[in-house]
Amino acid sequence: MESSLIDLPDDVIAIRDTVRRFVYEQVIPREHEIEEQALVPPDIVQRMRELGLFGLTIPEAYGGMGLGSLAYAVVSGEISKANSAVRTYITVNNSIGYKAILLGGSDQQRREYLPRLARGEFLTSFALTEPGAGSDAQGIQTSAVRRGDRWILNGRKHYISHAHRAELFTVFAVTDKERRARGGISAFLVPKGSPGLSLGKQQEMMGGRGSHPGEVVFEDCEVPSENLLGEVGYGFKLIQACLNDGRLNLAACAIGAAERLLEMGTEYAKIRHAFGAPIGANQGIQWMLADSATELEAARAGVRDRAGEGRGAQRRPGVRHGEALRHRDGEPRRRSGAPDPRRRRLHEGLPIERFYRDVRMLTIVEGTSEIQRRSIARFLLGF
Amino acid sequence: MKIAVIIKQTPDTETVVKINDAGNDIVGTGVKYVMSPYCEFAVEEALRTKEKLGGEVVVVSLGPDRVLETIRTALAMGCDRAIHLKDPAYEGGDGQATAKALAAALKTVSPDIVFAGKQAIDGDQSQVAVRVAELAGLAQATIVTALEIAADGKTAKATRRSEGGGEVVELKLPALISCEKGLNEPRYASLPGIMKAKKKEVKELKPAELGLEGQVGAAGAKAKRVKLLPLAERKAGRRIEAETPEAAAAELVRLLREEAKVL
Repeated sequence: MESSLIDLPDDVIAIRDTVRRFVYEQVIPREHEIEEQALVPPDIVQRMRELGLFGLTIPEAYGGMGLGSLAYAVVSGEISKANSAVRTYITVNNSIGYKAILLGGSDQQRREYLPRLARGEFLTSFALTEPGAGSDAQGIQTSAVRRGDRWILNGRKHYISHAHRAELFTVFAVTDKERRARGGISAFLVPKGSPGLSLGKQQEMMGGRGSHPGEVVFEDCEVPSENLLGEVGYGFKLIQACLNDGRLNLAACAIGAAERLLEMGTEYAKIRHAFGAPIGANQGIQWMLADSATELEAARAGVRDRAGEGRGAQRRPGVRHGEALRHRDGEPRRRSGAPDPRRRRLHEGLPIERFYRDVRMLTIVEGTSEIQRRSIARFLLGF
Repeated sequence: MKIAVIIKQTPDTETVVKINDAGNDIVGTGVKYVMSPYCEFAVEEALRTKEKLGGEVVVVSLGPDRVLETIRTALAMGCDRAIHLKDPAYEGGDGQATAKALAAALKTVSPDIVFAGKQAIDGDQSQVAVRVAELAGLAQATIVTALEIAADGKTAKATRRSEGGGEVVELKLPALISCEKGLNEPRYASLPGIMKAKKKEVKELKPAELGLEGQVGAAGAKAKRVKLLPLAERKAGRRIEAETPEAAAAELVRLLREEAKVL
């Protein structure tokens, strides 16, 4: 079912249908394998490269497609109908993975990295979160000190998506303890193999198997001074810019996951018989389906509205309503596996059980639902 | 090399079609249209030919406005430009009338090789490709599962599937190849390809521009579909009841042999 409130342009529909076909023909038949091996198979990654999925949002001047946020939201939704790890491959690269390079990088840095990122030649990681600082990003402890023509980084990042596969880390570190968010945090590009950079343990989560979050450790890690992204002290602005984009998009991902769940739930209501009839014939089940579809429709319309271009939508704090919807998705969408195959939801190895675990991530990463509520409230109150 | 590919837009195989009140056509509304699957093999082979031997791939299709979407799909897969035969006068034709229009459009391209699906999955008549080859004076190989074009672009060797076997034919180009499943694995349009397709040329040609006024569509048809017959309703299955699995299996084998006569 599609939202009729906001018509998609023809080219966005063509893109959506192509991605949908790829997901249903190539990925979903192997979703169990991906989950079991906790790995997105290399041939699927290769197909994603060929489709151009790694360069969706990277500007055309740097070899990407330069999709706007509406088209990107729609594509992300389709990708999210399969394993969360598949989605992570694409959405990390297309938002927080490259955005800091685009916004903060020099022309030379952009030319060096963005075209290769757009082709999917390597992965980037966004290294912000630390054991002692998540939602309160300005509380990070990792430090960077200038020594001659180099920066020396010390600290520990954790829960960093793709940590063990990334070739390049965008690292945020404190360069002025007094100023912190007000000009005391800076961003650095740290390539894999830099002296003093090591990978800590992998930190498997209940969901998103295959996206391999892990620790990244800096012990007198040296990077050349040109690896500073933007000016000294520009880091916190970059963090905000990167996460704002990512948040809207994660709402779109939640909607894709919800669409798939509703689809599975509806199908199940038709084929599962109890007491001599398909369970979908029972009004109790019908209401579950109808409520899920209604909420989904509202959420989809909300996200598309926020993602729409040309109305300053992305600068409006209304974006954050989209973020809130993401939260609302996390909960009700577990239901939209409604008609709840009760025991099947708990049966490991079935897609619905995986979704139950996968969607939890969407209420946490790139800003928890609580933090987003806080943003909405602060906007309303003028704080 | 000049490469042309003829494609047809058909209802999606998964669409449940309904017959109209007049009983001679399907109801168009609510139908999802796609490129006929055999045409996908044709487009893929055209693109592979270009990748190997260089040149240009021109897509040609006949049909109303909605066909543009399928043309764009072919362009997104990598074809270079398109000709869209769009005019109410083209509607309602038979294989001959359609082939006449397509052959005339191909003349404006003068291709070295033309690819087409072996049949469209809606009418299933397998007529258009062969008639186009005849009208355009092209050599042809139908139901092709493998193709080798000589590096000089003068000849081709085609493997044809035939009932229970196959044959290999050598052709002088220009030629038409009608494509069968197995010839290749059609690619997905890449997303950048979809964006680029918007900017590629789609030229519309009217019957008058082809010198075919009054000769195409219903006016040029020699055969007319008068009736569509729905699929016979499937009979309910039969359940075999038996005391033991062994007895049920034995009964099943007996029925397969004696009633269904398939063993």
